[in-house]
Amino acid sequence: MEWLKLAALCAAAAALELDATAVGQFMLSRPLVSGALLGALAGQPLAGFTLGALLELFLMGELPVGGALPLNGSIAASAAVLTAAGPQPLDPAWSLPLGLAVGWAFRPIEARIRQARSGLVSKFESKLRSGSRPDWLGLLTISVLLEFAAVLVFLLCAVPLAKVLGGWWWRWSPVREGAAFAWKAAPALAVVGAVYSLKPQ
Amino acid sequence: MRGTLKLEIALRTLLLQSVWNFERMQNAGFAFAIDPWLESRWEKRDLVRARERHLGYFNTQPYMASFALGAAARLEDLLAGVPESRRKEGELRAAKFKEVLGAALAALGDSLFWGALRPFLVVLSVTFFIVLRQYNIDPAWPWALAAFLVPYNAAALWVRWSALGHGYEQGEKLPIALASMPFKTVARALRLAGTVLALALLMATFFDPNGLGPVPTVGLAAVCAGFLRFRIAAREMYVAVLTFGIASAAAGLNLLG
Repeated sequence: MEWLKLAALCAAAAALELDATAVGQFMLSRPLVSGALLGALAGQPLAGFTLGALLELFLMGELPVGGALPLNGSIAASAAVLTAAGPQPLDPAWSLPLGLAVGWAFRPIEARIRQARSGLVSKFESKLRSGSRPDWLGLLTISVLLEFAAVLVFLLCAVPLAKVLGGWWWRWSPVREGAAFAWKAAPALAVVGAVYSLKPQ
Repeated sequence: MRGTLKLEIALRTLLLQSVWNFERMQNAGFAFAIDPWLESRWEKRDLVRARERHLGYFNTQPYMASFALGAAARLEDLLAGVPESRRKEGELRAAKFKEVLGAALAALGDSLFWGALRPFLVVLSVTFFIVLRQYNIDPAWPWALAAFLVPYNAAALWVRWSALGHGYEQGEKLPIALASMPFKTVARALRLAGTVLALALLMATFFDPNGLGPVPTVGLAAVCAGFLRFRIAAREMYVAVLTFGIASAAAGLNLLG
């Protein structure tokens, strides 16, 4: 039952991720927001907000400008919160780096999605040239569903894998001590990053 | 530009990046957003041609795209008044204008929204969360999220809506009008306010009872600030600290005392 709930939370995370580029840009996909919302849904709002806020501050200077593909903050926050909650929960101190790793691992998939969209647009354009009425709804639906499905499948694989591998590593005491040290240093590092991103240029 | 047509275009801008691709970036989203306007202006044969025009390369900051949509709608009106034999030149000019405008709007919008408003509100939200927790207000996180999302989306939606009208009114004069708008001043003020708040947050982390303690934290923050100057991201420094922590623990050093 707990694993089923985890799958539902992965679906919620994939829906929130759509806000990053595909639909709206209401900032629901930002780590601060998606972390807190997923944490609340998983019954750990405080851990969700804390992990989300740290990731938000860490990633503040990484902008999605032009064709840049920075680490996916929404995926990172979702993975961090979902590994810290639900079945076989990990310590948030260890979930934070695992989330960053999962967010980083999503980059090639994101690149593939964008490439696939080029093909969609080319097909759409050739139909348009032939004089047929443009099927905007079809184009947008396929494009959005493609992203949703890719994120969902990725999270369904990555989160349980991170829980299992992360749990295995956590048994080694240097990892526990190193993660605890980095967790205590994380707020200062994150805020230093924010100060540097914000300082007037 | 007004009425239901403006509303329809504004709503369609929410899907501007749905088909974002490496080749022509926001092209399909832009064509989708402007489509109701094209349908209201062109007959069937010209409509196909107009739609093709807007499937060319386009990329900008998503909220600022409304300016380009308004201006492009104005240029479509002008093109509709030109005899077909002389339309080609106007089409090329409109396409070039749209591309250049997209780049200019991206520079302004990235700096204002991604580089100033969002970071400022994130820092405000985290500060608000800490202050609420100090006053034992529980749960604090929904209020902190509201402090981020409400002002941000109010500003973004206002730009998305009002920029359509501005763009349409100004048409080809839009770049001149943009130069007189206070985007840069607002961005600078937000960054300054955000820096002050972030420095206050940094002070709070020095005295956090759950942290490393004031002296190690100050030392660590100073070292990190040095690395940031060399464009090493905060998350990379976090990974370095984690690796250092694990290596030290493996070597038998107890960093946490």
